[in-house]
Amino acid sequence: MNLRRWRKRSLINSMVVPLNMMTDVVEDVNLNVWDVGSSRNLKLDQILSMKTARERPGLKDFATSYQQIMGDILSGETRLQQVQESNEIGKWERDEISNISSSHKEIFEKEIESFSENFTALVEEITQNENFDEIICTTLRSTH
Amino acid sequence: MLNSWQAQINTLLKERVSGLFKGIEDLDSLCTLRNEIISALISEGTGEFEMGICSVLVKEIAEQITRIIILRVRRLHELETMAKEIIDKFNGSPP
Repeated sequence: MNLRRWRKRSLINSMVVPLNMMTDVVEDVNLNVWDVGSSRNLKLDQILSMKTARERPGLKDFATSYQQIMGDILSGETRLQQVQESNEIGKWERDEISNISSSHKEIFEKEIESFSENFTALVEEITQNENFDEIICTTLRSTH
Repeated sequence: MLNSWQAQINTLLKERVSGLFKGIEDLDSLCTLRNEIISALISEGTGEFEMGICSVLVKEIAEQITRIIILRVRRLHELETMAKEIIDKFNGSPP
């Protein structure tokens, strides 16, 4: 299946693609990122963040931000799903949580692709150049 | 007299509800609060007044949840910009 089309297939899958690319940087992490079990993916986030901090110190801030944002998105999605499935939802004619949840998914499906492409490009550049850490450190310092 | 008081409350609430939950940035807290409001105000035989108040508050919570989602998209873009800057810097730097 075409990778780009596959990425669009679901929000969760779209979000784990950058994590898969990151395993190029941390080669000995042998976990299946296609498993969308949220607890396992959160563990993978943590492992990647720790390993990145150790093996690519210049990427620590980037990996931490990535982990935090993805964690927020995943937990938000789960929480909205729980509210949607709760009994009280039936008491309302207009289901505003369903509307929010739908727009939540649409926004991230649309936005995550460009983010994912740039992140993938970044990881590819990193894997091709041994001296990349210095450039990353300089850039991160100038953006904070 | 009761009707007049209820009308005043409705007016006050509608005027001041905007941004009422702006200080709450945790999605879980907002969802819990939403549930508490519905449980407290809605039951069998609930009147129009309680239903109206509940509706206004729940809609405002929904607005705040949407704001949080927009904020997350903005943060994703910031990270994306950071990645672009790193790549540009790399591509523009001498070999």
